[in-house]
This record gives sequence, C-alpha cells and structure tokens, in this order.
Amino acid sequence: MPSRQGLNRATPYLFLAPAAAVALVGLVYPMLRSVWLSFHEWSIGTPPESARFVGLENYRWLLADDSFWISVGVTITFATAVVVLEVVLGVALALVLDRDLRGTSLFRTIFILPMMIAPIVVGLIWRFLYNEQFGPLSQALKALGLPGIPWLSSPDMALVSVIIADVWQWTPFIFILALAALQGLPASAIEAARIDGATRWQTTLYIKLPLIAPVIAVAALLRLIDAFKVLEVIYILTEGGPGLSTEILSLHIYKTAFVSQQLGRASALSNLLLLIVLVLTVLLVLARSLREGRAGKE
Amino acid sequence: MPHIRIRDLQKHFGDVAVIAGLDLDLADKEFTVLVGPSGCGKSTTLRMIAGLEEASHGEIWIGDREVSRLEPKDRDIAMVFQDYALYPHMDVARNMSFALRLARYPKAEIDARIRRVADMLSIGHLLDRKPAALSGGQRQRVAMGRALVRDAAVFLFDEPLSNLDAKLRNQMRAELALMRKRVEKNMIYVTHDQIEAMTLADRIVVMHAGRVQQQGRPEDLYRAPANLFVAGFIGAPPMNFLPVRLDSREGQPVLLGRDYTLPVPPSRMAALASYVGRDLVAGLRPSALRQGKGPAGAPALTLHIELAEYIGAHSVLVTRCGGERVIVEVNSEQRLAGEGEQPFWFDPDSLHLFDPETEAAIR
Repeated sequence: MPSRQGLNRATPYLFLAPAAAVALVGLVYPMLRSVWLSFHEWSIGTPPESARFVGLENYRWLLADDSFWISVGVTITFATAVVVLEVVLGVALALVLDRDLRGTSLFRTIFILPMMIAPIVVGLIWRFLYNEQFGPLSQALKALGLPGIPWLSSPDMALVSVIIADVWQWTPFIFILALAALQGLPASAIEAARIDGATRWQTTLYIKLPLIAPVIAVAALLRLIDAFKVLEVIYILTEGGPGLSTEILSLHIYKTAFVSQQLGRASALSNLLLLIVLVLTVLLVLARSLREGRAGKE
Repeated sequence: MPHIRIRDLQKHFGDVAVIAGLDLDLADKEFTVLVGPSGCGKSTTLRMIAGLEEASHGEIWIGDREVSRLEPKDRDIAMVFQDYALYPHMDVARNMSFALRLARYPKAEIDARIRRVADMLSIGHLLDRKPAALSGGQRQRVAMGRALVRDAAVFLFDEPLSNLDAKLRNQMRAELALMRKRVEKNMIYVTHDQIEAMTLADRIVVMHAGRVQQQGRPEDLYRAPANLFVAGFIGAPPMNFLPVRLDSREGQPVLLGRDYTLPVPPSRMAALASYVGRDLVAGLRPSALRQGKGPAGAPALTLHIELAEYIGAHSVLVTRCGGERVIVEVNSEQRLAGEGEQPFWFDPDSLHLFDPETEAAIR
C-alpha cells in the first residue's frame, strides 16, 4: 500500500516531467548560460573553451559606460511614453466605440488591423511614411506650404517618430481589452447611475473607468514589458540613431553582441534587461493575485 | 389631481408593438403594481417611465411636467432593479450616497440620511462592505436603501424580489408592505407574481399583450374581473372555466354544460337577455365550491375527485366535471374522505360569466 500511495503522489509530477524537461532545455539552460557568459570574455567564432573568466568586469564596464546609461534613459522614455499614450488613446477609443451605432463594428475591425502586421513590416511602412523626400507625410506638409519635419534625421524628432510608430501599432491592444471590459460591465449598474443623476461623463468617470481599471492595469503592464523588449521597428526605422537617440536596450544588446562582437558584455546587458522585465512581471503577477484575492474575498 | 399621468404611451420595436397605447392615472402617494405574465410589456412601461427606454409615442406627466423626452436624471425618480444593479466597486455607504454626492448634498446631511434609511432597513452594520460580500437578501436591502435615501417624486421597482428564494421573498414582501406605510411616496412596482401584487398594491394594473386589461383595487379585481384574462390571472389557484350555452328550459333560462346544468343567477338575468342560444364561459373560483349538499335551490355540481392535495390548512381537490378539469379549494378540517363522484354546491352570485368572443365579463 505505501508504495502505491507513493506512486499516486508522484503521478502529477510524471505528467509534468516532459514539459519541465523542455523548459529546462529551452529556458533555464540559455538563461544560466547567459549568466555564465556574462562573467567571461568571449568572441563569436572562437571555441567556448577560449572564453576567459573576468568576474564582474563586464558589469563594472557596463555601469561605467555612458552609452549604457543613455540607452537606459532612451528605453525608459520610450516605454513610459508609449504605455501612457497607448492607454489613454486605447481607453478613449474604446469609450467612444462602446455603443451600438451604425458602422462601429467596421471601425473596431479597422482599428485592430495594425496589431496584426509583423513588426518588420510596420517598420517598413513607417520608414516609407517618414521619408523626407517622397514620404506622404512630407508631401502633405509641402502641399500645405509647411516646412518639412526631420522625422528620423533629428535626434529629438527620431525618438518621437519611433514612439508614434509603436503607438500606432499597439494602441489597438489596449483598445480591444478596454472595449471587451466595457462590454462586460453590468448594464443595469450603468442604468442605475443614469437614474442616480450621473451625466454621461460622470458615469464614465465614477462607474465605468473604476470598473475596468483592473483590466487596464494588466494590459498596461503587459505593454510595458513588451516596450522594454521592442527591437524590429526601431532597427528598421533608425538603427538606434541618429547618434544614440533611439538606441533602446534591446538594440544596444544586439549591437554589442553582433556588431562589436562582445558577447560577454552583451550577456551582462541581457541579464540586466531580464532583471528589469522580471521585476515588472513580478509586479504584474502581484497585481493580478491582489485583484483575485480581492475578488475572492468579495 | 393625479400625480402621474400617462397618455397613449406606445413602444414599437420595428413593426412589433410591445405597448399599444397605454393610459394610466396614478393618484399622489399611491402604490401601483403593474402585473402580468412575462412579455406583457410591464417592465418596458416602467423603463419608459424611468427614461431608460425611449417611448415611441405618447406622454408621461410627473406632477405638472411632461417628462417623456427628458433624461432619467432630470425626471426626479429613483429605481430598484431586478438584479439590484449595485456599483460593485463601492461599499454599501458609497452605493447609497452616490446620487446625493452627485447632487452635492452637504456631508452631514448625506450621513444623516444614510443612517436613517440604513436603520429602517437593518443594514447599518453593512455600510463598509462591498456588494460582493453581501447575501442576496442584503443586496436587495441595499438596492432599496439606495433608492430610499433620495427625495424622488416617484419610486420605481422592477421585479425587486424575483431573485430571492421563496422564504426571503415572503419576508421582504412583508417588510416592503410595512415600509411603504412609512414612506409616503408614489411607487410603481412591476411584478409577475400576483400575490405580490395583491398584498402590496393600492391599485393593480393588469397587463397582457401590451395592453391594460383592468386596473383597480385588489379586491375589485378579485371580485369582479373584467375579462377572462384577469379572471384567470388574479387568484390562486386560478379560476375554473366551464363552457356553457344559455338556453331556456320550461320558460326559465339555464346554463347548459356537457354533463351539467347551472341556473342563471337572478342578478344577471337582464344582462344575459341578448345571449340566449349563445355559448358562454362560466367562471368559478376554487374557493367558491363547497363540498356536500347545499341549501335547497342552491346550484349544485357533481364532481369526480381525481386527486386531493393536502397543503396544510387547505387542501386542493383536482376534479373532473364532464370533460373539464375543476380545481376546488377546501378547508382541510372539513375535507370529506373518498374519491369518485361527490356533490358540490356554490352561491349563485359567485358565478362569473364571460363572452367567449370578446372575452369580456357579462354583468
């Protein structure tokens, strides 16, 4: 009997074992390898045994490197700006389109299209739009007799331009989730607010927004995590330039690894980025369990 | 001067008329119950009064204001919803004070009102709880409280008890009846439950297929239903209907059924003069039938008892009379033993007669 009980207790783990094995090979090993690599100096193309142990040298070098701190600044600016803009625009759009008017379903479909496009293609679309000679935006400005805007060639404007592209692509994500949350709200609570004397605006402010806030918070954190890892669109648009003005961390890692071929330093960078994203993820999980805990209590 | 006047109110969804011309006059401080089966238009009527549903046609007057084109917030109404419609993110106190806060009442005034209503509804200990932490009955009370803290001209109730279990419903019904004595306001209450209607209403409006079938005091509707629908809807168990033909036998008018003959009540002779030779529907309340042999000359029926359902103080007998099923309600103490054929009698004035074509009562 005891052996069977032991077997029973082990059964769930047996079923989990294959998935755990895959995760071990596909996730844990690369992560550990990356940590190992960050304590070494190694170039691509040389045998791994030639890697030289340097201790914390890679990290020390990073923290002393101006370009790292610039990149951190660019990343934080970019991530904060896109998340704030996407949440504000996405929720506003959802509020406007949360009604049964003719054509709203068509609008809803159109608004979510950008999300379906591969990031590389989004980059190409916007590179064309921003082209200072032939791009439609410049043509339009010229037609209106306005001076051209150095979309991608001025350091200040380039960051704004990549932010615009990201907002264009990812506002629909917030929009879809906000709209779903709005449509899931109890209709009678909103009717009760109308009876209680709330104007449309007060109903939005005091009833709708507080009720969809938990969904929006999760969606915003997901976007924040993603914004820290964005690569393709910026790579296509600016390759991080002019100067370092749009060189966000993932691009900085890419360049360190494959342009400068300093894999140890790139690994150290990756680990720092991983740490940032991990902190954000923990925040997300905490927020969700907090919300579920509250829901469970209620 | 009626406080609420509704004139030719209509609601169409496409070509379908849900409400086909409704007229209502409600006196000040009256408790009116709109009652009818589901789909009869009673909730739609209430929602049009509230302003949550737009009327296709007609006028709604509250006092001396025509409100049918106004927003709900401008109509001076409070409402209790079937699913309570509490704000899930606010605690009980904030739920109750929402309307007052929007109207910028002073805080002391808000607190005083909440305390008064919370005491009246015995929810004073729940004020800091969220709706999800309340039982169904408690949510019900909070929903009532949220309406009652307001000084609205009209209070609307949309089937407020239908989500409660039977025991709680009876309890809340009694409390509502007590509360409405203390709160002297216009109240319009929608329900499909005729017992709620009978126990609560000053005036009952029976609706069916988008039309008012009859309105009046509960007693009037029970004693003198205007048509077959009201006769069948008000009263439990429902009225028995027997097809009869008005005929003449030895110079005396009689009502001929398949296997029974009923005398025509003397009080109804004049009204029935034009119906000789025509089909009618005779209606008898289950409680109007008495078991045994009645006094000499009392109309009698022989009923074949198929089933006796003992309920407690009363028993319900399921019987047959010719091809028709007849329900009889008797006092359990006096219940006679036995099945099969038994004699019953009734007071001739308790007989209701209806025209089967117009379905209207003949008086």
